[in-house]
Amino acid sequence: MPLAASATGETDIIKFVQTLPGVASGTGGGNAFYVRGGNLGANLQTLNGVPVYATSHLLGLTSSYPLDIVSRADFQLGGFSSDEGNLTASHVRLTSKDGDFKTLTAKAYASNFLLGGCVSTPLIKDRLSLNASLRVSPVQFEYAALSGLVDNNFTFNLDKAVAYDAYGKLCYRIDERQKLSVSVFHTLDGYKYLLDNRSEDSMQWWEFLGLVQYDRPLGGKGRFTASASFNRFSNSQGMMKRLGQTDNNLLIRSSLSEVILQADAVSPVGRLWEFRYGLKFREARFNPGSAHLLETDGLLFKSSSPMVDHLSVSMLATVHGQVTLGDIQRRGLKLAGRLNYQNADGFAPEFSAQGRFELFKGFGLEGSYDRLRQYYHTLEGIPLGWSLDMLIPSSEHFGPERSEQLSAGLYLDISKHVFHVSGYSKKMGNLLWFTDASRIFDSAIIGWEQEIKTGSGTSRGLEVQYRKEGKVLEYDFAYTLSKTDRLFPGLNEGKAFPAKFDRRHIFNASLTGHILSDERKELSVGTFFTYQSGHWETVPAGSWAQDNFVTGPIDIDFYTGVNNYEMPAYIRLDLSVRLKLKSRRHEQEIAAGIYNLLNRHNASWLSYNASTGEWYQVSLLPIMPSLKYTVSF
Amino acid sequence: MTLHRFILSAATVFLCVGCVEPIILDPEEEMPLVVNCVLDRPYEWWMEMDDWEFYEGYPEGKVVPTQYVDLVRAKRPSETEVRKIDDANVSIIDGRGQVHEFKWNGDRYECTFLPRYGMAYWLEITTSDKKTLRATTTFPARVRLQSVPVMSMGFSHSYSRYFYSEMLYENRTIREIAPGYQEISISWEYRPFLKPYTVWVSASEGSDEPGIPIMTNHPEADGFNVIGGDWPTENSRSFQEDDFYKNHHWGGYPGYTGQVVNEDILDALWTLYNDAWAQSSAHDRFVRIHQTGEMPSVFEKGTTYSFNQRDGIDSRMLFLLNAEFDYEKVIADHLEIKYLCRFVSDEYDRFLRDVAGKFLVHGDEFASYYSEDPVYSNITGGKGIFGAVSHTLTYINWR
Repeated sequence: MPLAASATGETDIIKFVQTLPGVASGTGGGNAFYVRGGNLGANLQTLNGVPVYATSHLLGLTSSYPLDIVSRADFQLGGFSSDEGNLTASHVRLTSKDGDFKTLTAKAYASNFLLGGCVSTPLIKDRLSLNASLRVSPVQFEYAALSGLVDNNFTFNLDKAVAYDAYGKLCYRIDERQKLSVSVFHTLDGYKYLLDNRSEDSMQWWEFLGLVQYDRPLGGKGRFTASASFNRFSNSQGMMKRLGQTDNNLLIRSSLSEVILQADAVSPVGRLWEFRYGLKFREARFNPGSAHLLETDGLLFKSSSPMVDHLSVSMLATVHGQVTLGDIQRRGLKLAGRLNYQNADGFAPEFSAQGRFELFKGFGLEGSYDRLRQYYHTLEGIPLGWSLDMLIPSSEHFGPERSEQLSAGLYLDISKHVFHVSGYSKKMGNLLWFTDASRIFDSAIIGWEQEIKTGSGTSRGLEVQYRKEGKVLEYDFAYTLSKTDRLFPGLNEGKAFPAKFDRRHIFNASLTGHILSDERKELSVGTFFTYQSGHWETVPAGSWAQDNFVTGPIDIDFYTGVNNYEMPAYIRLDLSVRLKLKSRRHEQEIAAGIYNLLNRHNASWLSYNASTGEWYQVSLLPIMPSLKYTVSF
Repeated sequence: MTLHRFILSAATVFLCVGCVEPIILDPEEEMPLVVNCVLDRPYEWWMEMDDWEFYEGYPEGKVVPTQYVDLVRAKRPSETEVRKIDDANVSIIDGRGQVHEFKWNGDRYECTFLPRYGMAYWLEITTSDKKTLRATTTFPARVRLQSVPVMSMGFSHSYSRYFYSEMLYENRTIREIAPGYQEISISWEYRPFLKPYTVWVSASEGSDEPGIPIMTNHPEADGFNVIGGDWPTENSRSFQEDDFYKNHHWGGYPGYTGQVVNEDILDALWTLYNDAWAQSSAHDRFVRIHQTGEMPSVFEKGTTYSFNQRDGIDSRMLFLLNAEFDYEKVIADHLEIKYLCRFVSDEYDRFLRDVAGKFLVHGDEFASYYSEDPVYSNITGGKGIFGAVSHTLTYINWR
């Protein structure tokens, strides 16, 4: 990944994904991303094949998993492999590192937002290894130190804040070829704040996932993998409000528990053929928007049994198969299929294809086709990429989300210069519109089922990327021109309207210079620039005053449509520098940067002040320094 | 509100960064014309319970009201005032073809005429730049809501009322059947011209402004503005236990003085009264009742029906209204209790229903979540409302 500054000082895979063609960012510098016109929830992030739902810390500003545990990260937005299912836009596939079987390595670091460390060590040399990581945020102390310097015009007090993530992986080599690993990942964010003297609000999200995985070779270069995982995700909002003499303590929780069993085999045959096949079974228990009595004012909620429950079980069984002919990087064709059975939807096939055909050395055609289904929906409140969205299963009422996309283009790969240009066309179906997104912080969210509309979407675009790799200088330019619409009967008078993140033009440019590299020191500088057309908001086009016996004088707004106002463009320039100092025993790294060097107030939302009758734009992150110090042993 | 304040506060303080700046959102297109005209026939009829007597009547003299039309151009988000249009031709044509021409009075257009019950009216406006706006409405049918007190035994000044629409009323007799216990009998015939109506009822004490939560058990009460409330059972019970209530010299309806009421009968009637509230709902300042006008099944054969307070009520015909009156203040200050009934045309009702819904959520909100559902308008070529309303008022005086 190129060197990049971030608001939190943490290098983040999702921040890199947001620079790629076909990807639009959400608002406010968060981790929300929208791929080829899809919704945020249409993107799947997996860690060793297990979905991760609590994907970010804080207001979506950084991912909930550290890069140190990742050995490989793949981003796919078309031509999906047969084992990639239950998504309709993209897949961020993370593979974790095994622990070092020979020597102990450790690392500790501190950045704007996180203190952390990781260790990779043999427990039994050449047999059993451990890879572990822990990150904790001192955000509460930072707030306490800094809030005294800022004039607080709002009656807001952050009472408690906790954010951390932890990962551990034990890897056991059964023999030279077989391996058994057990890994756990846990992340938690919790914030309690006092808004005025009468109310105390809290929000929390956490995830725990555990995986047991067995790997062994299969035949020559083939391999077989079987795994069992358990995943529990929950987000909650707690409200303790005093009304008159009564304490109202309400907790609204959305949770998902899933068990996944899967087995997957890859078998190359000869030089040209590769076959892949497998099985997957998933049982998921959703309980979105359940209401509980909040029984404690501690940060980690303790609550009653649900007063209002939306528990439902989704079972999904998938048989998948894939055949690859040739070399997919030069001249090859991959065909992948899945046959799903879901308890509410019955049998449904999916199909993907990807191909590349080299016309002459370094130049060729490439394309992909996908017909996909996703068996859950994400009701998105605020497009920050934080984990307070509601996950609901597809059902008889809300069928699986569907997408069908085709992309075709050409590539040029000469020496270290890589150039891609392609166009895509995508149709989406069974998209959900959450009419009451504003109430996601309100007890009315308990009745979310009444606030859903179903519709469709289309997206078309042109994606261009030019990348140059090098030992001294590397750069990457990406440009996307796209148009994405939504159509919901009953909304906007039945007419299509722009998707919220239908950013017409997206231009990203990154440049990294490796100034110095020897046995003792490495020095790199980087810069990143992005220009993105504004996203869309729904605002009144005008208003008039009306007096009546019910309300008295009232201002009545009128609208010209849904998402009728294009926000100002999002423009940001970051600067970063990294200095690495190496010695025999340890290595130190200092990464410093300036995020949003132009100090542009990129509007995230609009807000209306009823008492003054004025509209305001809200920006989250102006110019911000970032700093991270790492020491490795 | 919580969401808005958290985000702004978090952005500004939590991260010690973040910015809120004013922004101009004005669109380029011309703003639409907005019409506001509600034909009004106020306080045609009133009914009063004053001490032991019951009155009904009409305002003295026949007052011909003035009708008004407001015509403005909507304002852009950055503008503070609408622009009034003062050079248009405004007229209303009634169902008999009579044309009522409106004149500009310096602030709005006006014309004096008395709308007729059940008559259709057409509004036509032509501006100086030849734009035409049109709308139509029908003045509500002549409907009155009559009432009897909840309990006339010993407590003639009940502030809860059983209401029923006037066309069911035929005859009423009062008979004393036991000391301190009166029986009210009402018999009526179903009148075939029973029409559907929509009425917005509000209650006030000592002032004309509605503001008190109002409660009803009418099965067709609109629940859009239901609020919490644990009365009138509590109010009734606490009042029942009050020494003042027990020791007061009870008259009746008409007046009866002397003995303290029979407490067994009192308890039975309280039970009936409180049970009637079991299905009730409390509403914020108004209750909207849409009476469909379907003929109650009891009248299918055209028979009469008696209401006997001893035996209970038939909720198909009668419904309870009550409000959160401050009884002590009402009694001490001799305040009037009023139930104001506004019968509205279908178009005006739909408009009011929309603005009432928006009023409930109006306030600081993120733009993304503003409801884009438009407020109902029946103006062709513009926005606004052309509607009609007639009023009846029920007074209750405590002496």
